[in-house]
Amino acid sequence: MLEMKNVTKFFGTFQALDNLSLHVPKGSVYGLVGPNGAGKSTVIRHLTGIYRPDSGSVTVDGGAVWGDPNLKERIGYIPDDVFYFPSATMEDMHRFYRDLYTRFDDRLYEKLKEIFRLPSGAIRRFSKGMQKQAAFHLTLCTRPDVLILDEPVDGLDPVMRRQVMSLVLADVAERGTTVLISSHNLRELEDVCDHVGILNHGKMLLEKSLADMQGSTVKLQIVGDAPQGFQVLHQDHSGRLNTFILRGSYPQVQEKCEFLNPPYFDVLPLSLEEIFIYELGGVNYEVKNLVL
Amino acid sequence: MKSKTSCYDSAVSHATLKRFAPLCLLYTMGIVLLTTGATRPASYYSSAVDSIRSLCTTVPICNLVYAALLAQLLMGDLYTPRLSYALYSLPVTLGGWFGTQVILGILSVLPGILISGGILALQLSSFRITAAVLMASTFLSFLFFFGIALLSSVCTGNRIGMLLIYGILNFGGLFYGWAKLKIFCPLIYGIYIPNYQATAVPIVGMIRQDPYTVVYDRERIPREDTASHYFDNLAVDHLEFTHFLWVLLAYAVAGCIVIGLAMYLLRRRKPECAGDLLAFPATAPVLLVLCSVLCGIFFHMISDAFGWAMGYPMLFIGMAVGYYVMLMLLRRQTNVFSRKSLVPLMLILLISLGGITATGLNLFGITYRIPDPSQVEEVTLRIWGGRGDEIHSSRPEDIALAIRTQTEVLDFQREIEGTRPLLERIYGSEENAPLATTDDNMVTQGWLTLRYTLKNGKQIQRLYYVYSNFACIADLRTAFSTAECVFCQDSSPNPQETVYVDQNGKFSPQLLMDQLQGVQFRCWHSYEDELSNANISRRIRDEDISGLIDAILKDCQEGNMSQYYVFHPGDFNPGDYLSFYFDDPDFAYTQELNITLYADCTHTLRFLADLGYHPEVAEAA
Repeated sequence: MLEMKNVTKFFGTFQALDNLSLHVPKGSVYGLVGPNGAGKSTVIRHLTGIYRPDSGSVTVDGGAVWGDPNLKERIGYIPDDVFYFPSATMEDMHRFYRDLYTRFDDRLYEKLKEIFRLPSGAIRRFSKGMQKQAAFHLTLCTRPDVLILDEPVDGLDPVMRRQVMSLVLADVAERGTTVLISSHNLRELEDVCDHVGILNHGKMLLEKSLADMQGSTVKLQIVGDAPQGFQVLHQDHSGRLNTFILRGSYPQVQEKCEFLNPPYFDVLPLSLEEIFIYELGGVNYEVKNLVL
Repeated sequence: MKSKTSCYDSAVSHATLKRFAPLCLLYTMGIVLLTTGATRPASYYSSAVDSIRSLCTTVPICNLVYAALLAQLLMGDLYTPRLSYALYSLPVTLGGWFGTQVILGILSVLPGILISGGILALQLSSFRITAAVLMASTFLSFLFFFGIALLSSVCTGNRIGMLLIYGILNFGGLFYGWAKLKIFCPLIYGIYIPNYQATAVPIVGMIRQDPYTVVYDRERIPREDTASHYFDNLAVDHLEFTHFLWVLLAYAVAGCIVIGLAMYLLRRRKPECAGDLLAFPATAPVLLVLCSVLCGIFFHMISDAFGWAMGYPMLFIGMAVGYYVMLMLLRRQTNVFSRKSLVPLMLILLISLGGITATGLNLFGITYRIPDPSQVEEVTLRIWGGRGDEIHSSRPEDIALAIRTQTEVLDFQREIEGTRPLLERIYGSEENAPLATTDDNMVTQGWLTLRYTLKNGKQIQRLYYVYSNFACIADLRTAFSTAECVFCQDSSPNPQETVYVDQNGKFSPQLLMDQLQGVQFRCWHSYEDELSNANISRRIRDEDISGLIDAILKDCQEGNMSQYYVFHPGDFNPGDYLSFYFDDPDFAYTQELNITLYADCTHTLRFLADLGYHPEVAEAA
């Protein structure tokens, strides 16, 4: 269980996290999403023990992460800007990780070489995608209980994206690894996540299982007015056809609409990307119709 | 599971070793080459211990540079956000990471020290201890500079900041000394800092003193140029060790304490400061003010070096430049010029100007401070006239004379100050203050230093002009007319430095005579023969010497034998003097003791005239 409780963090006078709480159930794949500058990286740096919270707590299985190397050994972290020593080769980093992580799996390392066909030479000379592959190669071999990924597939080609995500999911299935992924690619995130947290301005806007989230917000296309009793997150129209984004479950909305008996209506589930857009639209972060 | 809480981490160690081994190799080669290069026979009278002595004061300079480079490399991970974040996310403790870097840093100097020390020990056939002294001085000085470099690294977030703090910690004392000596002291009449040395600069403290003095036996100096004697140290009799190593040991202990402080601060350091100038933003105002002031002093130094007569304007210009440069570094942008940023600068400039003005106006009361006689333990009077010019005394009458003199000097200074324009009075250098103007061209002036040692251990030291028409001159002349002053070989009548005083510090005619007997004795009296415009020199007969010394002593008793021209008003150019020659067994050449005979040395002049040595005086009589 990965948990942040009422965490506040200031950088000088700027408040990056505002009394933020986050819960990642054991063995789940958690998607952390939010607009640029929402505080996702700051959350991740707290979870990996880089930042020390000004107030609140950050724990893994009840133990505070900051300053605990034994807990950190159980956490695998792949940042957006991956880590390697300036002149290190893959073998140098392999030795370093093997010395550092007692659970480092050499057999897996050799096995993964067939997937990540990385060249020899200094890692800094690798392309961005290759550097990311190198990070996955090393991190997966540390056999982490918690895997924290910041924009993990950024820079990877489509084949390698699938490859990497399948490796992660295999690890979840096999070992029950807890995974937290921060990404702007919500379509891909939707395929792998079972829990989602939406962050905005350092606050947790919404945190639910993906099934709950998709089950509690629907898109209604209707000729006529929306049924009463639902919070309208968004409203649009095209001719006589109105489109509403309503906070409510599919059966409830369906039932009310059937009761109203309009000339036409259709209740549709929302994608994660749509939920993200409409939830943030409710807090004044929406696509503006600006004519240039 | 292996422990992750020790102060050494093998994984970090392996990675660090691989990354920084080339620098360690470079240092090792440098130290070995320096040692072998410096210990080569230069001439037939040179010795290896002498070369090693010089080397001991050279290696701290190498360590000053190496420690900064090493710390930059070892602690460089703290400066890049990517590496800094990685460091904090990896399963190592900060203590383990830091401890590993410290241990590796210290180990990096050992090969160089051991190899160079080993080579020296093998080459030396005697005084092998000097090789150990060199090894110790290299290691101890490194410990200090490494500690300072680590502290600078932890307190900063990038390499510029590290070098800035390292520079301030190591050389800030230079600026302090300069400000004291060249900015404030010239505003205070009478302030004098003798033998200024940059004591607050560690590297100066380390290289100022040799680890030992080499005492040669002249008889054993080989007369032929043979290289083999060099490492045999044939001509060396013995070594006299100074407290150099203790000083270095104190520095090394300080270095270790600083390393502990760096560790403490590292635990409080936030990784998000990587890339910023400072790791602790709360210290930014202090650094801003400090750098502004230091830059001002630096500009003052430049002005002084080029001889520009605009020290104070340059000081303030430098402060403004330093302030904005520092602001740019802190904010990591060049656009820092705003009304808001101008306010602190104005405050710094106003406070500085206020401090300088207050000093110039003597608001701190330093200029006219005269100690209470009951507080004074000892007084030292020094006239700047060469030999025998210093008196140390605890006698109440000498303390009273010092206070009387100071009072008269300061009264006179008040009169002078009243005649100067206000701006010049405040900001004008007191060193160049107008001298007493008098129509009496018989008045001369000279320098007098007063040093009071107070009963609480503090010292007050002043340097003044004294004029020959001062009332205190007669008393000063008497004070400096003692036989101990007149017959003193050196500047101070210290019993250990001159052979003519006994164990009680009193002049002994017999000791003087003993030095003259058995050696080549010459006593000449010269005088200006205005008619022929040539010197006439006459040797005093041996049988007359005793009488001559008695006559001199009578003049001493009457207070007329002072050797300082200011104490003999109207007698500017006395052409009469006595030269005592004798052979000093410690030196290979003849020593000379000159005594000037002013017109009021009546007993001596009379004696010389009576015996026919001084025809003019005899004719006048």
